[in-house]
Amino acid sequence: MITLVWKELRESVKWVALLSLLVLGAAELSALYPAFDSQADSNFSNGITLCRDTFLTVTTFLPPIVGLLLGFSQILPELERDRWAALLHRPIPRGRLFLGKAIAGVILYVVATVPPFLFCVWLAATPGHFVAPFVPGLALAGLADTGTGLVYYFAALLVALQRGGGRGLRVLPLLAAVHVTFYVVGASYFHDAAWAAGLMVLVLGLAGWGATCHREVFAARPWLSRLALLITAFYGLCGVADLVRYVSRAGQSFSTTGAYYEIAEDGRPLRLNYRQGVVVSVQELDGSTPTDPKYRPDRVRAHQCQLNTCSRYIGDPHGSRSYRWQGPYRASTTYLDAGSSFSHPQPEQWFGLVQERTFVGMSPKRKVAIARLDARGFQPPNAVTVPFSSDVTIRSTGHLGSYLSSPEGVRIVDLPRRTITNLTLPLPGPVYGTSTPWARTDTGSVNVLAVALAAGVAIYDSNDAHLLATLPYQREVDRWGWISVGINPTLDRFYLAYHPSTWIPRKEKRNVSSYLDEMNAEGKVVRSYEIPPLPEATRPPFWFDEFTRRLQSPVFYFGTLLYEKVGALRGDYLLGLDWKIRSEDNWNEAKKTAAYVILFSLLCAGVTLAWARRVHFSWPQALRWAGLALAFNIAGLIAFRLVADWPRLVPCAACRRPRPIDRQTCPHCAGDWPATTPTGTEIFDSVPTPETAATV
Amino acid sequence: MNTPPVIEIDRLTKYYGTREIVRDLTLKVPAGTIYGFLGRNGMGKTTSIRILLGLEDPTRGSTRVFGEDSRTLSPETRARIGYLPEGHHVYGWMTVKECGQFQASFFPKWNQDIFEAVITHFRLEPKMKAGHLSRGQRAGLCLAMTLAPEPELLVLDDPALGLDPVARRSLLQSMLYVTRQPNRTILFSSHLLSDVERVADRIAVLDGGTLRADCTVERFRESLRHYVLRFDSTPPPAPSIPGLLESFRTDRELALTFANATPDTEAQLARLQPTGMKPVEMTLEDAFVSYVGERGEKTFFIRDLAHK
Repeated sequence: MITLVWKELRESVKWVALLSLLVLGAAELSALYPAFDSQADSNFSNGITLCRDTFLTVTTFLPPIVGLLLGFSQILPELERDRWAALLHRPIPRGRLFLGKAIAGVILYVVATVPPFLFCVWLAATPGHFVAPFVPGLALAGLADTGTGLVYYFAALLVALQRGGGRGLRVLPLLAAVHVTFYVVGASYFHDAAWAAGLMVLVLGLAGWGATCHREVFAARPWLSRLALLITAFYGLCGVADLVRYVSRAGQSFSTTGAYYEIAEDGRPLRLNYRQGVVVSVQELDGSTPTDPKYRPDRVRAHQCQLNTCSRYIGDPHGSRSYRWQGPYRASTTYLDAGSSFSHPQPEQWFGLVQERTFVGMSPKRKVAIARLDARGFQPPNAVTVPFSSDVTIRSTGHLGSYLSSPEGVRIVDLPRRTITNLTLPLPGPVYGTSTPWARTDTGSVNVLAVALAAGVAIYDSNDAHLLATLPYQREVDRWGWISVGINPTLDRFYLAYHPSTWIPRKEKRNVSSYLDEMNAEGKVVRSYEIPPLPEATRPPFWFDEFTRRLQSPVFYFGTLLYEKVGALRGDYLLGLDWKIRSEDNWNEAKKTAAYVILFSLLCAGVTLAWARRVHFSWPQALRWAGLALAFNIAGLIAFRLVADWPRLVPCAACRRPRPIDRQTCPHCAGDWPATTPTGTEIFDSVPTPETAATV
Repeated sequence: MNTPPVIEIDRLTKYYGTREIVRDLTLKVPAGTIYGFLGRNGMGKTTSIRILLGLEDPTRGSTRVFGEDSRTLSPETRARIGYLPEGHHVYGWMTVKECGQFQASFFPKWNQDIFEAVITHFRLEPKMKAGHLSRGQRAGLCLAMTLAPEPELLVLDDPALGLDPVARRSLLQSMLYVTRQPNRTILFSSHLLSDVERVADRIAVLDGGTLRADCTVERFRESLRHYVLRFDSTPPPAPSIPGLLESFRTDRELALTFANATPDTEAQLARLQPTGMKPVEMTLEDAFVSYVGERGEKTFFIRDLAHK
């Protein structure tokens, strides 16, 4: 096998691997450096270094192309009839032939894709190249994409090797790879993406091995390979669904209809009704339309007071905890929080290292770290840092620069002067949350810092951190502990909105009113409103989602329910949340979906069984395929059409009805194939046996 | 001693789509035989060989080599079979020496002397790039790679296809070299009878996907008769006589080719009352062309040309 690997390496290293390396390297480097949009990207809105949008676009598309090129170049030239025959006839198992090709292909793929990526990682990780610190997590997205390219490589091998079956079967491996790309791009965690890519590589590899053993006949392949091909077909169909959904949803991202409350400039709540992201009407609480023209739907957003969420609960008698969602692994904000930047006394750009729970200041000119901030305070750039405790958050607000918030208190961080000052709290803690409300003025905006405490909200001026107001709670904050804070431009009125706490079940929240108190600087309520609950935002049913929901695999549907239930029982927060949403809020919908899924699966199984028998599959074969359709719904039916070895039919010479060519007797008249009529010109040496006499 | 046949083909049928390529082919090749597998292009020779070697699946029927089902030939059995496909494929970027080394790495047995003898016979240098070889040299290199593992069964699929006479002769000489070994079986397909005549013990003729002859070369030649009947006037159309392969009618002659002609055949011809009738000796090439050529009567009249 070593010589086979050597041969494959020799054949493809120059024109595929090295060429790909050069092209990929150039593309990744140009995408990594913000040469053309440095202005637009100054606030890091397009991601940081290895998580930049442009870089991820390159890593999403180019490694798969390299994988496809490699896969096809290894098989297609070899498929020329006699060349393939000569290769297959060599006395080694066909599995080892495939393995030899695959090993060489993976080596070549690594040669083509990994060095450019590693070079980019080295650039990002080495001081002096980017105004951003490096954390290993930034490389995960590119690593996942590079790994996904291998899925395309094995898909190409299978596409090239596969013969027989429906024509669509040739495309399904590629579509399965597309499905993996969708999954990898949309996954929350790197390990999910890595598992998906790794498993699909395994599945496609097994299917490719089977196709090497028997290119035409599905039934002749090893059972593991058959299973792998069915899985490939299933995920290929998922890829079709992904593409159709992606194309048909283009431009429909704001298709929801709903309403929300805003505070008018004069402090009264207004109901804004919107459709597809556009405010279509404005109502007072009594349902009337505001008379002031500035509250017309097209202007109201310029004359409103923003409310910022300050806490999600006050006190925690119900054991609810704040789940820290770290963000998707592909977003640079999951690893780096681009924070304050200033130019005096020297230009600095500060970043929060989200997972390390420390902060680092970078010099935009020299592109190196110049200071760090950790639990002990400011540190030199190369110091070993001590992370903040997990409940500490750092935020930026106006002239205050940044502040550190934890249940124990709030500290103002003056980054230019390298000082940290404890904020004096007017009420006892703990701190349940902070926010930075702001209001628009004629000349700009005013900002304050709001701190939610056990008994009220403290409002601080963002310029000098002096206490502006202490606003005691006026409601039962155990239940209405989701508190939002707003201010007016003159800072003499403050708005506290009380919403149901986060621990209150969603179903119950739908019927619970909220409250809005307008308070003055002395903490007295000036006006108070009860805000009736709003209907939940609705999204018009999207035809394709409805379609796929009803036609999904019962195995996957009920398997997901079980997975969520088990996860919830084991205390997994996200799975528990999913189960809660499904079982508590949408149980009727879940039951309806289950009924549809079972109904359509039965229908598909029936159609498959009837179809299979009609085209002369044997009963066991037909039942097996019907079972697949029962398990996988419409996907099983399509897989039957594409993957199964459909009997080819020719008219029976005796009864003229179609009979399968691979069976010795006609299923209708039980007749054998007609013997060749002797012409008298046959020349046989020996006395023919009765068998030969019948056949020749 | 009754040794089992090396190759057993039993009621082999192969379809491509709904087109029947090989029909109910039954054939046994005993050990130590050189079998010529003959037929015109597209008659199913290559397909049968590919099924025999497990490179394609049969639609119906079965094939066995060394007693093993072709669909599941073990690597050990494949090592006993030398296969030379018709394209004479070599990896163009390898040198002759590298080709040998590459091939040798797969086989448990490799006779470097045979390899070198064959490449020398074809005037090949070890350092020559395979991609720069002529078609004949490439065929020689492929043959060397096929013979060096000293296979017990040699399957050659139209080895002389596209070669000039010199290369063809060289190829045959090399092939004969290996046939000197005892108990070595060779199955080779061809549509060139002169090649077959030189080496084959027996021939099998495929026509329209069906086996029509399986006999020794001598028997095949003897079984085909060619008669030329002379007439004073335009000859009558060829009569329907069993075994008639083809007839050729000119202004004064009627030429007929028969398979399995009997004394009764001549009697029936005599009833046409020709002025002269003589059996004509046929070369094997002529016999084969008649045997697998188009059936029916062909005419060639001078008066037809005159009308035109």
